[in-house]
Amino acid sequence: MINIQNLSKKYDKNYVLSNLNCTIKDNCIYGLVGANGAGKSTLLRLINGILTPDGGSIVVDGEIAFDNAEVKQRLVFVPDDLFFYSNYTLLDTALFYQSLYNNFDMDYLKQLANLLHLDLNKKISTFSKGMKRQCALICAIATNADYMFFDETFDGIDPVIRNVIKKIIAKQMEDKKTTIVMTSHNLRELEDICDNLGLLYKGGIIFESDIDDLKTNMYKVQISLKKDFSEKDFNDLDILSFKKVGSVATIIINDEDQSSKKILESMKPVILDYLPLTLEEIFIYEMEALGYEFNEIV
Amino acid sequence: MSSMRLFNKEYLFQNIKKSLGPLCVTVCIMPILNFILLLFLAISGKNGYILDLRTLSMFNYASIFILPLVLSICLFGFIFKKKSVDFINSMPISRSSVFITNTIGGILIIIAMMLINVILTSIISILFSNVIIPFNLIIDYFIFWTISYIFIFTVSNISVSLSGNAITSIVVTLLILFLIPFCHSYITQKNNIPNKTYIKCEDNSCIPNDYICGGNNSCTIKAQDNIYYLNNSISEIVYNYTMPYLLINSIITGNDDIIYFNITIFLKMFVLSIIYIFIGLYVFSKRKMENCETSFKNIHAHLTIKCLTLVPIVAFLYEVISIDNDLSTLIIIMFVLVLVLTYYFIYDLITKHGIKSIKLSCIYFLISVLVIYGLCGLNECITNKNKSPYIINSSNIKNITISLGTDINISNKKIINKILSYSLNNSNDKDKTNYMNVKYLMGKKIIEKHIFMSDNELDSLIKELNNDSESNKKILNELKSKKYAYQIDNKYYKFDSKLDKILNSSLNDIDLKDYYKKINENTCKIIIYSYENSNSKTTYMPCDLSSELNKYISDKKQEELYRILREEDSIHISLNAGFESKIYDDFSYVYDMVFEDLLQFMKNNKLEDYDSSKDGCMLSLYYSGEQYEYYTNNVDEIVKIIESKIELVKDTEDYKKYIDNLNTNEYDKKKDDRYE
Repeated sequence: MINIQNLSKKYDKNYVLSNLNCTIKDNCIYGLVGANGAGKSTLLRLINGILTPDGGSIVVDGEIAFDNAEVKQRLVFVPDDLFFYSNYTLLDTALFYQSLYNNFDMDYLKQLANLLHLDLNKKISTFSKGMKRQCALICAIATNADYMFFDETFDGIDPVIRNVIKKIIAKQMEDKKTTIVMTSHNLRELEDICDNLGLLYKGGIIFESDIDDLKTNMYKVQISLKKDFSEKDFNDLDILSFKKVGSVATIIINDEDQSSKKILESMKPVILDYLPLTLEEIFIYEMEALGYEFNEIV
Repeated sequence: MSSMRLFNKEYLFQNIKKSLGPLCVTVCIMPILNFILLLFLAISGKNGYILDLRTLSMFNYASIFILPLVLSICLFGFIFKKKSVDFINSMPISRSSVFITNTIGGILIIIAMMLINVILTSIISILFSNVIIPFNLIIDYFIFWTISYIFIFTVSNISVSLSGNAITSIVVTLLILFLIPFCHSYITQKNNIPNKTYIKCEDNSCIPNDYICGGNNSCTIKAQDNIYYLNNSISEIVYNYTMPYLLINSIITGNDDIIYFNITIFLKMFVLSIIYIFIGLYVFSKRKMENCETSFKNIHAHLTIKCLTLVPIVAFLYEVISIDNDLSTLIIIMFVLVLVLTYYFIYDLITKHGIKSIKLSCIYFLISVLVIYGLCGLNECITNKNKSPYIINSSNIKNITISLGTDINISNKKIINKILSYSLNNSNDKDKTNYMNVKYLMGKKIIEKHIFMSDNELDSLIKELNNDSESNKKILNELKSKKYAYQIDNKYYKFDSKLDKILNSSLNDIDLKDYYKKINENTCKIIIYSYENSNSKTTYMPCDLSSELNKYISDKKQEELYRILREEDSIHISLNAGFESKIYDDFSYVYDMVFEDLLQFMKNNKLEDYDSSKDGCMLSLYYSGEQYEYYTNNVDEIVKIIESKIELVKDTEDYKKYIDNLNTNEYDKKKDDRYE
């Protein structure tokens, strides 16, 4: 488990992270979202000991992570801006990782490279942007580290490979009980893979939740009644959003006790449809409920 | 933290592997250049070369400032790019481990480079007998330059750890290496070096015989107090500094005597290297890794470093102003100021990729110029207060070094006073034909004086030296010191056991008085080279010190003559001395006809038969830009060879015309001389 307490980091005089508190549980895929400049990359670089925190602490499995080689054996980081030695092939890069990570699995790397059709003996500098990211990702996955951090994970990767990588990541988490932290400024990228989500805004995590909880409690309902109606007619429900166009209203309901359907059916509606909510919509409504204007955040 | 955790050989291997190309070039370029130089000397120099530390170090003078920086940037260069910082620092290796691994790696690379260099040098020395390098010199060269390279490498590691880009790290390295020594030497040289040196002869112990004041009142007054002018040039032994500063100082001042193996400098660099490794480790561990791709994140740190680079320029400006205050000086100052300001902003463009905080930058510039100028002025005031003639009490001179065939350190007070007395003589008598160099060492100050002595003065000195058992012992030790080469005429040879045996037996019953006399006479001498305690020494040995030595030298000369006659294609012979003038003219006319006969004559008449006490002649052989001198007592035989050829041509018109022309020229010459 990674426990971050009161973490602060400033560049020059500007605080990028300010008193950030966060807990990343073991064996989950944690999605970290936030607008550009929210501090996602800085947070990951601090956890991985690249940057020195100006305050607070980062504890990984009970040990301080900063400049601790033993703890860092359990962490691997793929930054948003990738780096490879100019004359290195994928195999050279893998050997570099193998020389430093005790649990590096070269066979697994070769298997993944084969799956993604990456030539082990070709210079990485000749690869496309997406292929370079694939190289970095499979090298990181082959380290078998307990905690993997992927910044802007799918940047430059086409949808087909993206799905393959998602499956590899999910398999890694399942088989080896790995904890994966992924960042993105695009919620849609993370919604079908993450277990937990954290929203980073103005140097702090303002919202953190289990995705399943979010999805099971919230509903998007389209309803039309014979009579004219307004939001006041639904006072018995925990309404997060109410929008009416013509005679049809779209309502977002927080329905923790699953009683909404009974109440709505008792109103004899002309139309009553329960529609699936996207993660983005869930976030928007949760944020609005917390008093944030979501458009400002993401 | 265990050493195993601090040194990570896998990381080092990978780090070297990724920069293999540049590192190979860095490591090999200097040994290869050195090898080519030595090979060139070996092939081109028929007379041989005795290599000293200076010649052997030729390429090190430049590479000492380039190689460690390149090495540092290759090994630590990742911290200048955000991408590579993320990559390396996310790896499971601590910062201290990265630093120590890279430092040890760099040191190993330097040692490898120096070993390659030493091996190549040794190969040349073994394969080519004409390139003579004492083994101890190679060892000293290895130790001295290895420590120097490591020292600059540790400095550049600190700089790289402090700076955000390569250019700034070069600037910081230069500041660490040069700023403090520059300021120190600027202040001390102004304060410590007096203009004139005087000797106060206490108890009339060293009163000179020929001291002339020439109507100078100050001189006369001083002489009444037994104070005599000695010299106006004093050099100072600079052990305070490290090799890089001494090198630059020697290049600027043109005094490269300071570049020698010195244990104080060596220890200083060694200790500083260890200290700098710890400082570098601390700085690297605490480094803010976001400081990359720019000089410093903090603008004040950037401006401070920039202003510190101005110190030498402003000090120079101060010196220009203090010399003269006329219009041309003002123009120079304005010109330099414009240059400095241009540099000041170009520095920003290079290190920060843009000119930022112009107002703050200008304030820093003004303050730094005023502060440096003020400090220079303050130093000038102190210097002027302290400036007084340097008077040495004769009783304080405990020992001196004289060069009389070999360098002899004298500590006998009576002899010191005698030499002092000779040193203070300032008349230019024509009979003072004997020359001697004297060195006084007063603390760190070296005062050198060239003395000219009359025969009587030299005899008197030699007598004193001969009577002093301690001096005699020292001289014998010097003469018997470990030798590695010798020089006959202008050809160098490696020292061999045969000569060593001959010299030792000759020195066992040497009459030092005879030795000194012969050294000062213009007779045949061989120069013997020795290298002891990291110092090169030369000793002169008269050829006729013993008959064995004389024969050995003659054999060597004969051997060289045979070689010349055998190997050299274009030889030219000239008659140098010992003939009547007509013979020279005839020789010129029949040169082609007598050439082979003369070569044959030289082959048949061995040099060992030559007796310098009898009448003789000298022939010179010129070949491939070199000269060989041949002596023989058999003048008649040579004359006979020439005359026999003249017999064949004497009736020809051409010869008669040649003689007529010579006579006319001779007549014209005499007429011209009379007219003049």
